[in-house]
Amino acid sequence: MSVEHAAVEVHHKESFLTKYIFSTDHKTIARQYLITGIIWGVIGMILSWFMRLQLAYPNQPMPFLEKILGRWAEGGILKPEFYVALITMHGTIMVFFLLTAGLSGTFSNYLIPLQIGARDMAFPVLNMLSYWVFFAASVVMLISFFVQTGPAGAGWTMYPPLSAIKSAIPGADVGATLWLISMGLFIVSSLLGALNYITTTLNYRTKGMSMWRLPITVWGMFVTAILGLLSFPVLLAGAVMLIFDREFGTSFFVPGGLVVGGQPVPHEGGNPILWQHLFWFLGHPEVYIVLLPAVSLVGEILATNARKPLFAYKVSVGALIGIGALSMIVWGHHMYVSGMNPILGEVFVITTLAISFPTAILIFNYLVTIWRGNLRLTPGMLFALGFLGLFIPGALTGAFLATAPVDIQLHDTYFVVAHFHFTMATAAAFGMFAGVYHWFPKMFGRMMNDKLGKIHFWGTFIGVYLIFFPMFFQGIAGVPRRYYSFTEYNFTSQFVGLNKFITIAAFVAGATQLIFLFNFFWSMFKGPKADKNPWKANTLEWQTDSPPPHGNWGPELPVVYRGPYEYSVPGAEEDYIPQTVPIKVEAK
Amino acid sequence: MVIEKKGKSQISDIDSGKIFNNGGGGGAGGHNYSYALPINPAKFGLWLFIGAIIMFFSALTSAYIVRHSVGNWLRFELPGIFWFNTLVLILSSLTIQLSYFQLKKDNSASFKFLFLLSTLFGISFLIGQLVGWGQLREMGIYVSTNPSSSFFYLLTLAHAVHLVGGIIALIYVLIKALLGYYSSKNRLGVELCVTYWHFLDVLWLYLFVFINVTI
Repeated sequence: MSVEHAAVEVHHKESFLTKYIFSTDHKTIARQYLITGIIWGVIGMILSWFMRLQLAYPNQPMPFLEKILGRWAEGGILKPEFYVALITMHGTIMVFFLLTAGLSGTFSNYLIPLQIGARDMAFPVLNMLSYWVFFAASVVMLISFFVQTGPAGAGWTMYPPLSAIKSAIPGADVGATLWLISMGLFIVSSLLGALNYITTTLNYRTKGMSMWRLPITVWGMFVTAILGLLSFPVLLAGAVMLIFDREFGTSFFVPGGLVVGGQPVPHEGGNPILWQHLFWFLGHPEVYIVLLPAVSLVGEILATNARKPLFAYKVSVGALIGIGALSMIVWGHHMYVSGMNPILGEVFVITTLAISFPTAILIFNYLVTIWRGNLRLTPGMLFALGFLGLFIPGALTGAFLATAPVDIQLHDTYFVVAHFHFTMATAAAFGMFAGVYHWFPKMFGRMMNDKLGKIHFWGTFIGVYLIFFPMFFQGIAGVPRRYYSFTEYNFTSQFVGLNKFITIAAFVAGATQLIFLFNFFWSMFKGPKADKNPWKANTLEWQTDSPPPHGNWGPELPVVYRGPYEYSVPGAEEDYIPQTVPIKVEAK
Repeated sequence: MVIEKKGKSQISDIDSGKIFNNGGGGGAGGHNYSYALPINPAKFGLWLFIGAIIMFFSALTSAYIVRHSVGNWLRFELPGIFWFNTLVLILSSLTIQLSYFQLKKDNSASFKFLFLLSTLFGISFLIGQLVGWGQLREMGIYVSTNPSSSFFYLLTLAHAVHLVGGIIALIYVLIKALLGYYSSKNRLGVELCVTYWHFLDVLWLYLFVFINVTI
């Protein structure tokens, strides 16, 4: 016993390396995910600026571009093959590296153990590996920017045959290989994460923390983890087959009779639609892997800052589970125009429209939660409300895209771009911002600046509308997405002015993010010290120190006596009752 | 559980797992959380991992079915060695289960022997697969010859990769077993190995039947 004890003590002399770099503490890992995510977010945003410059000023030399991008913009004009690479990398980085790893990685890691009253994750070492495998995936993806043929350029969906034949475009060469390796590592990382989140939620709840007393955030992360566990392996299978096609000459996805660059392709008999099925079997749940953590963070923040219980908590949890379950059977709505059997398409129309029921229930529950509440407009609350303001138009336009006959007109137009940027991209980003503002005091022990946060919110919220709302009109007019330039045809060139407007909005909204970055890093070191419970919230993480010590709680684990949303209870002394407050037995 | 010491030593108690007992100990749940599942967290994690692998292989085999139905599918005879390999893998599954029973009865010597035997069977399955792939190549059947061979190599290789992971685990546990680490009261590592190994066996049987029916 004493020998073992000594060994443990040696192990826990926390050096800089074990405390900040190879840490197994879920809180440190969460912060590592957050900061890596922010770096990826900045990179992804800068990529979108380059695209917007091209769309606003097609074929106009901008010499500064050559200084930044070198041979990708010779003479200051972006090359078309680099434009498709930009689109691919912007999508990949934002969807996977920022909104999957950055969002789930940060908040699942940070909140699950703290909100269920555990000391750490079930498998701390796997958790550390999860981050470092993600880091390796990040490095590989970053390297692909610096190879001769440039980063992957077949779209973030990597449709074959474009992605399967190396000579098809520059972006299908080494860049695509690195993309596949990076995504393979990414999938391993997210599986390690999901294993931990599920096991921890089911196994490490403290005394009194039944499933129906879990904050909605934990439920959201839990459903997300199950979705990831079931859908990411399918993308891995597809990626392995694509690697076989590219490296070993198989023909899983490449049809016969293709001629690329004047050379007949030796492959024959493959089926490109097979890849689309495998990809979207992940790809659609992935949308909810991005959305559910955000929507659950928003629910928690709305209830806390409206000083009201979350309306119909159990129904909301049921809606989360319903969205998760339905999301596994709707992938075909991405493929209405791919040559799928129309009857099969009808089935996917029905399942897709069915998903609007649980989604609407959830959103209405949120609206009723803030209805006549005592709203406290903190930056976190503003971003949570902003989430609703972005998600609702996004979700409503989804109904048009879900309907196959309408989708035939709208498919692959800017309508789709606008739709998913509202529903999933900016909405999830707003959820993440809300989460960062709300939990920053707990994470770093200091408060963020309120005023800067509000300026950041208004700049971003208005900016998002100015950027993406006009795209609905472009899409209805038939402007196709992913095109390098729109100068050839009347029906597209009529929007040159609008494109300039969107580009200016994108730069202004992007510059607003500098305020956030400054606020984030400045507050981390110089912000005023935070109390234990600055928002007067009920959940467990606010009952321990800010930031919580190693092991989260003192010698005793907290005991839970009540649900997470007892706000403004009539007759109570204060307008909140933390979960750790025992219920008084009153004499009859 | 209760800490009597003060100050510095309290932290080391947290760290040693006395109160910081996530992931510590064996048995049902292995901790004091009142709502834990009636299963050890590590075992539960392994089952989740197995679930992910099942999704991976169901994606591959459903792609197989889709491609098979399109046509242009050349049939070929599987070399007999694959039947032999199958037998070896089933045997290894049997011996590893027997070794686990012996461990439960604390028959240390026969536990170690049977566990060693299972590991050797596992390795010989892998060697047998290599021989089988070699024979196929001699027959002129390569990865890119036809979708039928592409899928055959893909499925068997993917299984082999998971099996290599299993063998690494077996060797790790075997070394610990030879050092006398395990007993009837401390058998979590062996149990995890046995579960994963049975899964690899069942997975192989599924793939093998699947391939034989369709190829």
